[in-house]
Amino acid sequence: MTIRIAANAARVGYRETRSQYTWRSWLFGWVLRLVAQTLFFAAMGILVGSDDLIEFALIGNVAAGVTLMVLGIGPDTAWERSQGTLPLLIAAPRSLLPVFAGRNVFHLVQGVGEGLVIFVLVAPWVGVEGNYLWLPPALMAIALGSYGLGLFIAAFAIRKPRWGNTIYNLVYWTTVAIGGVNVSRTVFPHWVQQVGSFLPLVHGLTGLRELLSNGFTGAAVGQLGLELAVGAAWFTVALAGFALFSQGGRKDGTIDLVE
Amino acid sequence: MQSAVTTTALRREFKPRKRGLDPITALDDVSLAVEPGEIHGLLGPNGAGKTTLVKILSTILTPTSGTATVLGHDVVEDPGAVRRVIGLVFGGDRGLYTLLSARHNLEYWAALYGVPSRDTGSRIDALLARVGLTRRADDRVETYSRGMRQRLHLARGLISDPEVLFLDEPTVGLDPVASLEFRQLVMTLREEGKTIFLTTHDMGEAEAICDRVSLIDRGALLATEGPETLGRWITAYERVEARGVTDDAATMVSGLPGVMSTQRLPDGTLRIETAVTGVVRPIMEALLAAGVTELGTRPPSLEEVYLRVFGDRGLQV
Ligand SMILES: Nc1ncnc2c1ncn2[C@@H]1O[C@H](COP(=O)(O)OP(=O)(O)OP(=O)(O)O)[C@@H](O)[C@H]1O
Ligand SMILES: [Mg+2]
Repeated sequence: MTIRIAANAARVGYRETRSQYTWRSWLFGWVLRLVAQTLFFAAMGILVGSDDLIEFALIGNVAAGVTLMVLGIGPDTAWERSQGTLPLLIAAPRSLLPVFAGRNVFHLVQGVGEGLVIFVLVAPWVGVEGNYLWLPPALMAIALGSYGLGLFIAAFAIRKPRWGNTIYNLVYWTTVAIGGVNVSRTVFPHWVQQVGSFLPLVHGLTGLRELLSNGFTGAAVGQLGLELAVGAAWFTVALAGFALFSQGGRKDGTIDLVE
Repeated sequence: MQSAVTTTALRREFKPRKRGLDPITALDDVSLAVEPGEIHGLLGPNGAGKTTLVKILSTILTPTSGTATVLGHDVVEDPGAVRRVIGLVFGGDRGLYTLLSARHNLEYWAALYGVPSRDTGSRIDALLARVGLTRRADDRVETYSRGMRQRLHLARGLISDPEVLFLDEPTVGLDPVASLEFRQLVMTLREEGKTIFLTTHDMGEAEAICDRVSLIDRGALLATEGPETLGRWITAYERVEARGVTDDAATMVSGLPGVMSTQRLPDGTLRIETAVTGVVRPIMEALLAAGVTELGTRPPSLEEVYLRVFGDRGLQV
């Protein structure tokens, strides 16, 4: 039954995504934005003349692009509000988690696809070459790792509709800042690294870098496993969040507000 | 017999929009009972608290105080049980996935209500036929007219075959023909034994389809009446409206027995309000005799009936 809910919701998500983007608007708007971001940081490596730094920033920003897309499902409850369907979902007897999880499945594929497109576009420019076959599966692990937190932000946005976007940006930029995207995590104090290990992207990116430099090692598998575990943990928190935040929204009468 | 829906001393306040202001009281000490199998109307003007009450009963909103039950389940203590036995239909355009077809919308909600897979297809076909959407079932909802969307809303509300159905102003914005069709659909549901709680600001609608009507204004319940009483009010406070009435003729009419007041509307129409039944005919005859040819009767507004029947207590400010 849960699967059926998710599958039906996936259809809604797919149609919605299709109506939002055309191939062209996706490529020239969204993808170019991510390419620019990636190039900007890779250029720093070029500036200081370090090939290692170029590759570090390239891989980091490609992976962060996946997380950006997947966490973006957070403010998604706003769309349910604008359709007027959120109160009806609350009044239905099932949890909202399978609905939102299903609705956004497409964004996982989209996120990984974008990461790969950006890589293919930027790598030749900055002179990065090599065997990157590990990239797709590692990016998928990062997408899954980010999914749980994205769903939690979605749950949060039921309680505080106006804060959905703010929280999304805050979480994303925190993750980018301390997650080892442009600078190694080790430059931060220990406690910051500790906080980081509860965020998505962090372990997945470490695993990806390990895969690319040393191949299929136990350490790499361990990190990717941790990434999935972080995803699963946030998924559980999101489940509780949907119950708790809908209860709160019922109390203060915010369920059917449009904003 | 257990009531299908009960509310006891139900109250709901909303936080004021600005700090320092008093909270908004949307419902105040509302106690009512809806009996199984009846169409119970909740009649009230804008802002009376109708939607607020439906939201509380359908577990979208919690009450500030008081209790409410649906088929014996408390809406606060056991919202899950309430959700399994109710259907909910809002009036208006919102609440449908406009990028999907009617069939796909219904499949979605069938999954959410746990309708078994093997029953889903046939149930959806039957519902689509019932609301007259079979031919357009696979077109996207964004291409539907307002009336078609409202019928799809009803089908959506019925997908779980609920025992109790809440309809919040389901005919608002529909043209007279579409409203009539919709009301006929609602009446067929009563024949199947469903309990229906319907809100409206249209007295004619309440009179036409409800078994009992609760009158609400500014959050307070004024009375619960049968449709005959409503019908009596509608005729008792019927108005005559006439165009092309000279000032002399208007003065003559205002002196007739049973005339409570006359009033010129901005477009020059003369509106004559009556105080008792049985005077409409003599008034119209007098107007015809005075050479007026464009004239007719209009039902009174809800506000007017409230004012007449309940006095200040029902006065909308
Ligand atoms: N979420 C909210 N926050 C603040 N005030 C609210 C909220 N919802 C309703 N109200 C107020 O509660 C009162 C009752 O509103 P409600 O929507 O229940 O009326 P209604 O009878 O359905 O009116 P209408 O016929 O216009 O639909 C109104 O004064 C309204 O402004
Ligand atoms: Mg309303």
